Amino acid sequence: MTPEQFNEIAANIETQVSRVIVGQRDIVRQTLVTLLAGGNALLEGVPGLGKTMLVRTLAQVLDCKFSRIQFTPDLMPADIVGTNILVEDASGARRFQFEPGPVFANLVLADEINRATPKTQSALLEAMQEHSVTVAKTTHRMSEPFFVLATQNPLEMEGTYPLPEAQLDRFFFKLNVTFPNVDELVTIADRTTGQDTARPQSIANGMTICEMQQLARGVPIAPHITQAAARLIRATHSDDANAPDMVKRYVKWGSSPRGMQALILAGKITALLDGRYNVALDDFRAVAPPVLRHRLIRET
Amino acid sequence: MYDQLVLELKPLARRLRWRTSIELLTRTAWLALAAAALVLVVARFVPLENYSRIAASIVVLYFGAWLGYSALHRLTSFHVARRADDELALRDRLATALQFTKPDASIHAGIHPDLVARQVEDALYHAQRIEPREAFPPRVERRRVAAALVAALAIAALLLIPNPMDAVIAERRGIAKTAQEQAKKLEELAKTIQENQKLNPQDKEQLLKKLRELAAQLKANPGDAKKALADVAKFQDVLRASLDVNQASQAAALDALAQQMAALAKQSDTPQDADELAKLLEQLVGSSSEPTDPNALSSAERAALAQALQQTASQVAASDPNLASALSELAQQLSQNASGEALQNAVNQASNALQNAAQQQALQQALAQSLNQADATQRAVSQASQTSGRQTSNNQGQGNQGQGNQGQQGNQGNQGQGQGQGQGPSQGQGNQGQGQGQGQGQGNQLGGGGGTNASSLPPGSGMGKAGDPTQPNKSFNTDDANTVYSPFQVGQGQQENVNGQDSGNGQTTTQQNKSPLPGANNSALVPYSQVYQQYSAIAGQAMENAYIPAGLKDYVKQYFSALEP
Repeated sequence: MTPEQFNEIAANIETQVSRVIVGQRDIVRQTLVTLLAGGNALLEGVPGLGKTMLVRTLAQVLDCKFSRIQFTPDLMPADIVGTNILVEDASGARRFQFEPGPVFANLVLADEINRATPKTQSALLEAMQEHSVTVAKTTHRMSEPFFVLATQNPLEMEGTYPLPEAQLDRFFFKLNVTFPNVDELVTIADRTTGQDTARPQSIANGMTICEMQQLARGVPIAPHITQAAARLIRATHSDDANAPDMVKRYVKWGSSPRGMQALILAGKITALLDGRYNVALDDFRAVAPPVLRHRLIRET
Repeated sequence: MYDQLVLELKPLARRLRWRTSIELLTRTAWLALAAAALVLVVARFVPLENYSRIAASIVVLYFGAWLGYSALHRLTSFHVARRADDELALRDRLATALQFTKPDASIHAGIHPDLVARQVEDALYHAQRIEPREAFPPRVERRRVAAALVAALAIAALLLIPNPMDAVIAERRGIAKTAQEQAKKLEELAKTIQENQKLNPQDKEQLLKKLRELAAQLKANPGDAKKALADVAKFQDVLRASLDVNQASQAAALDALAQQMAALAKQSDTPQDADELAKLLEQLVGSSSEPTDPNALSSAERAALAQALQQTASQVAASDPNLASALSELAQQLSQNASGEALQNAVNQASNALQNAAQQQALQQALAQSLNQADATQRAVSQASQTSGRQTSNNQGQGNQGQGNQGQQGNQGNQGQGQGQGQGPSQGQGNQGQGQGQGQGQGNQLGGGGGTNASSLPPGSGMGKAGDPTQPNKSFNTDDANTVYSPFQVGQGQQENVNGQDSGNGQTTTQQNKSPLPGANNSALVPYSQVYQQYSAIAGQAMENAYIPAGLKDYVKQYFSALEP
């Protein structure tokens, strides 16, 4: 995989996704960055903004296995990761066999993740972090690439189980899905209410995505840029000497080291997508909001 | 690769250095210029020595510092790369490439080598396409440049427009110089007094101490006329307290006695001081006690000598009771034709008293000399403060010349103080500096006498004739008004009224008062020059303490110059 191929594939993915998803270019770009970084994204937005459509389209474009899990209060961990069931073979012998849950896919949409109990949420979050699940003392690896896109509704908070800070930290990006403007709404109406519906082409497969992920990690980053990232993360903590006044006044707890990792990885991918071979401070400026917005705990 | 990259960055480094210097200049020059302008503005309200040099020094120091910074300031390749990255939106290409190509670079294992090579090539590509002049144009902050221009214009204007404080500075310099000169004169006077053997050592030491103190104060004076005049006035007050106003009458009485004794001794030379008088007295009385002596006095001569001694004793009774007592005792011994030890004791007492009187006389002369010098210093300082201001404002030399002449006249008048001989009004116009007995010559018209600067005089003995002055009246001028009535002198003596004697036929008779110097103790009558100095000093203080525009100060100075005696 060369950087040129990386750019070409990424551009094609965005082009194909944009055939289905109207507007939301930043969301599409940041979702792609999350995917290429091997992370998971949390999308926050009201229902009907195309979150499911985005993940489904991505799965089509990448020719990957897609699954959707609708989180409800009665959803159990086994409903997500799968369970051992008793099966009888042709000889009549009975044995337990692991039946994988919907999490065993390349692209997983965890819809309204905050409606499930913390126990269920944690089952998914383990899979997100480790790319594996353990059932009956047996660990089952996910197939790569593994990408979870969780959504949560900022409205209707009653009866929900907000994700704890430790769990939120496992998401690479938190993306705020904004409501489309009038032109975009008109385009959505034209595309979805006619006889023909746009169907994206498959551009890459899971192997290609893995190669792209590998290349992105090899992007050079100068020591002074890494130090800048480290200083930025330190400055999100109110007890740091270099923290700005706003942080000292409003931030209770700053970003974890995962935030720095996400910042640098996202910066590398942004640099490659921009046609560069080095990470720049401007890349950090571009990716800092989705990296840090769910990692800063505000004073109440 | 690193060297090539550094080579590409060198033109950028030079350009950035140049631009940094220009930016520093345009950002900060206004501060130095404004500071210089502020100094010039302040110098218009406060007398500031060498203000032009101070302002110039600020500007020169600033530009020196700027040149030094520009010459010594160096940018590393890394800093150049970072600034180029920032300003040319190169997204940290150059700085990253430098970091990865420098000799001691350690590339992390996770970094793709091919990507590193591509990154360096990409950075080099961008570096080669940078045109330094276009990439780094000078950034000039117009507001600060405008501020610098305004400050520069203000400096030019302030330097071109005459500074009213120049007059004050010149005045101070003149005063300081005059004070130095006067201090030297005081020191010379101190040397003269030091060599005077007739003075009592204690009195001499005290007088010398005061003289040297005043000289030191004047030497240290930075040009403050008020302080100089105050120092001089304090010195004058101290000396005047020691000055015996009756000393002149005593001297006159002793002179008269000396003349009479010289006549009795048949000498052509009159004794010049009390020492010689004492010797002559011992000679006369000693011979009279030896009947065989051919030079022995006759009875008539002894009686005349006794009478002269008695008269002198009565005249000096007020100023020197000891001398009066000794002379009276000797006169009594002579009248009683005493001889032997009693007469010799009386002679010795009179001789000792005369020698003491001689010391007192010498001291009074030294005090008078010191006072004269103090008066001269006072006038010189006043003149310096007036002349300096006038010279600077008018840039003319005529006024200075006139001042010198007036000062010369005043000095002459002052030297006559207390030493002038009493002259009757009928004797006409006297010399400048000689006194005139007060209360004499009353009539329908004023006498035509002149020279009235003496404040202590022997009693007048002339006869005036009403309606027939010996000299014609003359027009008034300030030189004539040498003695004026000064109501501010109240408290320095008792008021004494002397009524004229109207004999009906227009003739006046001599008024013989208890005081040997009628009118001399009347402190309401003071020399005009003294009153002038007071008023001039007060006006000078007012001009120093209150704000008066420099132009108006000249009017006040001119006014007092016109009145100057």
